[in-house]
Amino acid sequence: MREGFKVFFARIRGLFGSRSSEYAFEDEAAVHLELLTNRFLNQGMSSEEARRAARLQFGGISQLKDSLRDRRSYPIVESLVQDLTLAFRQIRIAPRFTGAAAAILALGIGAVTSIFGVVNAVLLRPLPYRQADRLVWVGEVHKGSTTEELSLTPNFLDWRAQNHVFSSMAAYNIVLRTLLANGEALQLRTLKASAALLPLLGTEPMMGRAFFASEDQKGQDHVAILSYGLWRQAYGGDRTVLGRTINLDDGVYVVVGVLPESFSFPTLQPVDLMTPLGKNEQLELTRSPASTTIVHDVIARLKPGVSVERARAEMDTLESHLSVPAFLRRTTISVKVVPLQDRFTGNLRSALLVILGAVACVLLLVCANVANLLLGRGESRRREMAIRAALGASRCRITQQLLVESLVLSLLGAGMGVVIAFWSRRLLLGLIPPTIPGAMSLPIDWLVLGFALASALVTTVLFGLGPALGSANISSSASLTADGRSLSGSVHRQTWLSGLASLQTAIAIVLLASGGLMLQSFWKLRYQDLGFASPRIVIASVNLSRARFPSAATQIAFLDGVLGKLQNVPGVEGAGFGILPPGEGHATNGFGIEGRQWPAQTRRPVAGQFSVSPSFFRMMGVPLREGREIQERDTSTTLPVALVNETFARSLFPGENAIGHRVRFEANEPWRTIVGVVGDVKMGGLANPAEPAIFVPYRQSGFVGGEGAGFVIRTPVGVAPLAAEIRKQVAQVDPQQPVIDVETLDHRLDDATARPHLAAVLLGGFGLIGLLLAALGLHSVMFVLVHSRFREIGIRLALGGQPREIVLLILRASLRVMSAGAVAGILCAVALSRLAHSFWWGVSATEPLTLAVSTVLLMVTGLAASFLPARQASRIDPSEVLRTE
Amino acid sequence: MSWLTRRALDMLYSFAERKGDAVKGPRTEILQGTLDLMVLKSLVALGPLHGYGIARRIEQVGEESFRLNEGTVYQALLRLQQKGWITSELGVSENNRRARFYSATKAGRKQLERETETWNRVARLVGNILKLGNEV
Repeated sequence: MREGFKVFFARIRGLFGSRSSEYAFEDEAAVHLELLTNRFLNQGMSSEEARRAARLQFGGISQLKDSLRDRRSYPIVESLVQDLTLAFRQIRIAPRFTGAAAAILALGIGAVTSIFGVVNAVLLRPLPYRQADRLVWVGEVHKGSTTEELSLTPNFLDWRAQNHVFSSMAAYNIVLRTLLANGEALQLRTLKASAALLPLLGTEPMMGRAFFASEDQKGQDHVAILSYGLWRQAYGGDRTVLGRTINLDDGVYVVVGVLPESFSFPTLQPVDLMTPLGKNEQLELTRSPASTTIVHDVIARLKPGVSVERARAEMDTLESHLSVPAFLRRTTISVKVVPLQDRFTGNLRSALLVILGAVACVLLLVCANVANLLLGRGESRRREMAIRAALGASRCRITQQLLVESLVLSLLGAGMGVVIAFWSRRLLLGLIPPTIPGAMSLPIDWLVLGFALASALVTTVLFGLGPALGSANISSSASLTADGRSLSGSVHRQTWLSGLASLQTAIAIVLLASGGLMLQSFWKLRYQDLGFASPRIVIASVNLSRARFPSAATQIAFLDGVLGKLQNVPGVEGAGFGILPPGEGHATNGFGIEGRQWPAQTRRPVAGQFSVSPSFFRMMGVPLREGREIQERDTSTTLPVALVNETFARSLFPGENAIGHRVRFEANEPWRTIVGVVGDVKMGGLANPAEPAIFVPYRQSGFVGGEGAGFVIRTPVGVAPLAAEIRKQVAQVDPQQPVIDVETLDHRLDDATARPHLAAVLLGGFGLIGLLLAALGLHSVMFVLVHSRFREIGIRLALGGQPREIVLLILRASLRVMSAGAVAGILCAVALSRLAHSFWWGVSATEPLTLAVSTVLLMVTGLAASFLPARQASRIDPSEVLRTE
Repeated sequence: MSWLTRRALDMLYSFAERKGDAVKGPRTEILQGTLDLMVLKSLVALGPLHGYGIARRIEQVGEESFRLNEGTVYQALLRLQQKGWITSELGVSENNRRARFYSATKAGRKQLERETETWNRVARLVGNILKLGNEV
């Protein structure tokens, strides 16, 4: 064994040493032969005889030399070194070819690598928690309303006590709260979380302590842990903050800890502060209607060896044995157990995979293009290969040499590609909406580098192998004698080239079609008729929490005050208050209509319930369809009124007039008379149809609040000059009420469509790149085809053919190649978009217009690209061609 | 012991089938391992030698019972050198030319002792096997 290593190292040394040795085997052999010859001379032979005998006794020198060389080092490595030297020489000889090929490869590999960087950051990198793959999200699905996923607190407590599959379970709610710090009201996103949450995620406070389990109980929960960001921002990183009391809108809390800077909660938006869950556990477990609360998220850590499936089965069993009273059971309840990572990236997965697929298509186009280039300069290389073959190089050896050349090209391209990926990160970071988890930074790590390397290897095989095998296949005699233009060889090559060009056409059509669909999808989503006029509207969202406004009267006074002030701000045409589109949630409020009974066992209709100011619909530009708007005189002392939207009127009062009917939300409320019907406004997300909605004047409603409401200001001056003024006016009315965002409504809509926008930009971009690459490929293919038909064209011209006919001849050939590709491409595009149909919104996957436009666009570009070679062909001087042939 | 038996049988087989990396001479064949052993032995016995000297020594010891293509000595020398059993340095030959002189290293001497012992045992074993064959 030890000798094996010795020999190995000796041979490795041989790789470097043998050639430079000053005393080579030849010298040694010469001395040996001379001594042998002398010996035979002494035995009385003639000098001629002696030399012959010596050579005979010594054996064949050249075979011996070969065998010694093979043994001295590793011949395969030596030949690789040789091939590398040749490859670099090739680069020096043909810098333009190398430059072009490497640039195309760099673009392709750069594109896939940067997109893979996004996939890596978002999908593949584990969440930043200890053993994050063992974390699951648990939640109940209330089948009555499938969009709602939350859990009842008593159920969570029972799971925690009774399960055998989780080592730990924690629950939390996200609560918007106001913090008064330095006389300023800060709107905070806070967490009410089980004490178990931090240990479960595997983190500890940077300073101070975590919560005690006893602090989960209501009444003992007035302790808080700050995020690093809040600590720096509100307290300037003061270490004495521990033990200090802070005012949140639901009481006074003692700061007990600060979280590390690197930590972030498993929530979509950053959290500023956390307090214990604070539930009265004894009371919850009685499951009385009045005391049962909810938790939004439950996170659990699987015990070692427990699979997600087993946990799911156990939770199903547990759930079916819970003593849930009928009023809570709603319909049936099932439990969802999903890996935490999927919970966060689930809806992104398909989008990213579609984009990665598109990128793979681009890479394929790149390969085809480089293969084009390689085949295109086949002529000179073929002679070289023929000579090599004639001198005794084996097929294997020639293939190896060509593959090494391709590999050098790919690696060159990959190196430049990584640089491109590195620089394009800033561009991508600008495009990616910040709400996508993990996309805050796009690290170029080993996985990304490995991906770039792997794509280089794949491209090497894809573009290098075909041409390499083709070249190695030539019989040397044919190529050398027939001037390197044996008919069969060139026909073979033309088939290859046309096939490649068709393939490129097909891929480009797929790319163009999917880019087109995505652009349409985005356009329809963003610029659909939303039911309101968004330009010139500035919005200021506020969260009017119940804790800050204990009674409806205080809230009404606040809104009256602010609206009154806002109207007088210079530059403001009018101000209103109401729900801000596009919203996210679904309508969930049950309601009653006077004189109607909902049959038992059927789902009761639901509608959105929104409090608005009289001016709201006028400000938003929502049309009044029937009846009258809410007016200033509709106050708490007058007849309760309501407006409904068209969807409500249509679905609940088909064929009759909704006006005059009376509705209410709670049985103990007075009936509200419907006085008007307004146009539909999308409040449940842009991709969803408008839902039934009831609007009531805020002066007549009880509590309005929650997220999603705010002031609507119509102004020609834009957001910049107004933002500070709006905040000031609100603060003058109530200095403790923070304003969350001041922005234009258009900006908000842009934010809401950021993801489809990104997808449209990327896919559209890939479509264009695909178009360019296909055109480039077609151009070079036609160029080569024209060159190989020089003789034929020359004869045609000599026999009186018109240059115009020659141009048409070449263009027809190009059209033929493209048509074959187009048919294949259209079929692929249809098949693929059927697979990914859920990906497009509002457009049919097989939309003929998109396909037709893509195809025509490609054909026209392709013909333009073929025109140059065609014109060149028509300008051939026949006498010249015929003379040189 | 089983390893020895196997080795002995291997040798018999390779004689029988004329396979292995055998060096063909006009009169007889010698095995590759044998050549290496003879080269090493020559160097241990006579001190530094060049290739020609080694060839002469083997010729002398072999009593003309086998002749070899003398070039193959250099293959053996390379193998031994790569295993670290011999080293070489440049010197002047009897015809006043620069020549490479080889000599056994310490590891080489040890190896020779081991090989000699093995060979003796193998030879005994082969002898026994052949004798057994006669009795049957």
